[in-house]
Amino acid sequence: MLLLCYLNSSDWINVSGIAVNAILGIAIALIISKRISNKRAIKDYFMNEIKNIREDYRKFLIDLFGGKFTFNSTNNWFQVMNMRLINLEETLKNIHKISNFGAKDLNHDLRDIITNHQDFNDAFNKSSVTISQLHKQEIVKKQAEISKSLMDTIIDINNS
Amino acid sequence: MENSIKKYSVAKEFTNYPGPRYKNQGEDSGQKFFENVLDKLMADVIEEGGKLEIDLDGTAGYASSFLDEAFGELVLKYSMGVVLRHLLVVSELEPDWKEMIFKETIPEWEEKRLEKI
Repeated sequence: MLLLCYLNSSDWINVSGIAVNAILGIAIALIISKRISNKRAIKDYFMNEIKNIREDYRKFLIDLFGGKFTFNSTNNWFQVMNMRLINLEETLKNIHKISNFGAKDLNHDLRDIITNHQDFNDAFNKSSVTISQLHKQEIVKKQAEISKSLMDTIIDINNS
Repeated sequence: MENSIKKYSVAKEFTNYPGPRYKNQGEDSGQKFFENVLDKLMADVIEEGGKLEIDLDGTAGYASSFLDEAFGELVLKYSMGVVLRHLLVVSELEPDWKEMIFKETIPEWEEKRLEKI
């Protein structure tokens, strides 16, 4: 405080200039770091959503092979998953500029493999769908492709 | 009347729970949908020179086999050219069904039709 008393008018101009610059610098740093943390938060959200989708596929196959799905509940599961993937694809394209989201088409392939199969159609009036061993292998192979595609998308989001 | 569009909603007018491929597998099958609905509607719009719009939205979900059988039989009976001239498909919630019908089902069943000739 004592030092300030010895300042002349040109010194005051310099000091206030330094103070203004310091305040501006801090404000800009805060705004930029908030934007960076917002962007990080959005990335984390989508990466988490994709991890949830991978887990949902895993649970679906366990339950399908375990006889816990009927004809109708299988169709409904795929309908809901398809709409989820469509929304995700749209958002990834708009926000993260990711245009090669392969999981949606692979999901359609998986739905074909399961619901086009004679065993599945024969199970319409039964209490659950039964999947043969050969059919299971085809399903698991496609599900692995979906899992890899989703992993690739997580990497793309992280790198965007 | 030319350019008129006859609209049909699967969910409102046929079933909320589309069934399997064939009639002998269960009710509300793709085969039944073709025989009881699509066949007659397509014949009508051909005679009128109009279009048939099938709305797939609103059901609890389809098996690929239902749509493949229903629209495939349509091609087998009327040919791809006629079907493409008169058929419209609406599927806002799942656009890939529309893609499957026009890019896979219709061309594949047209090949089967030509093999039979």
